[in-house]
Amino acid sequence: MAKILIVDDAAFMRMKTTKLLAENGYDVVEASNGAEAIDAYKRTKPDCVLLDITMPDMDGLTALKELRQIDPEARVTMLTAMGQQSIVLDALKSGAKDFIVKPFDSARVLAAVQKMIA
Amino acid sequence: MADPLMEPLSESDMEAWAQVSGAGMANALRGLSKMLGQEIATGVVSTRRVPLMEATELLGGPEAATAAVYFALSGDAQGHMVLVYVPEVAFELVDMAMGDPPGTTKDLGEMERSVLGEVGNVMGGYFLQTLGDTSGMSLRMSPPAVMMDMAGAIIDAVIADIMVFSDEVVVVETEFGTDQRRVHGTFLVMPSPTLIRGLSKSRRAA
Repeated sequence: MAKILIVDDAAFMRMKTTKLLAENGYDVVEASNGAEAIDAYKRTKPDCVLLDITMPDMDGLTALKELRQIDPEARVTMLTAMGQQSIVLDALKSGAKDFIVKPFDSARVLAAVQKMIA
Repeated sequence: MADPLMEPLSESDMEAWAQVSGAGMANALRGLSKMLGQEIATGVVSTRRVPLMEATELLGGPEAATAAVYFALSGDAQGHMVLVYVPEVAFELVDMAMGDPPGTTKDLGEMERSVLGEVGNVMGGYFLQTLGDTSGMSLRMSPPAVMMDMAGAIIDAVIADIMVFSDEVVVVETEFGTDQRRVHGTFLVMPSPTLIRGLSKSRRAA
């Protein structure tokens, strides 16, 4: 069973995404900020990561760069709000595989996950 | 020399703001409809100038109990956005987003606050996308601050900031909701004069 790390500071977004992925047979690990994400990545070694951009403590872009240092093969899709194009471009240059714009639909999230672990 | 920030806004500035913010509101409601998976309609979008001393009336008066989600705007221009609901409407919105029957939510805990914050993120992001696309300005919003408090306390901090350059505030207001479920809320946007002038200038250039 593939393991997915979900990183979002909004409890609601974690709950919705976890429910969707669990229903589709994935094993899910949650983190609520960048620092927790780094810790959870090292500890649980997920197959891929869904990473929110706007978070307190350590934002998604900084967390992405750290994750890719720890594991240059880390497979990460960014979760973004409207109007964050410049950050998204920066994230793609820094090794993110894909990005999903909120509010996202279930099919788009599942497709991104399937692409990352294929 | 006069500070350009202190110069009064012209009629054409206000007209440009009314048009662009109206389009922005429509886009914000598209975002919310997508998030909730159902059509959310918007009422009349009104743009007006309000003396700062009367600004708490925008949130139902200084003593009104409200749930509000606040965002600061930064980047090429500054401003404030506030989504305001009476508490029962905030609860209703949470039920809709969670897919729960009406009346389930009775309080705003961490999960409920994050729902309101996310609704704000989506609406604010879509609104700013329209402003950015129209003006070419790069505008960012802060993470949402969700507050349950008397209206006066919420708007005091906003007013203190606006007072630096003006004794009135330019607002755009609208109500939104569905026929079946009552989720009428008010979306207030208070742009700085720089933001309005930026929009006005880009429209003249277009």
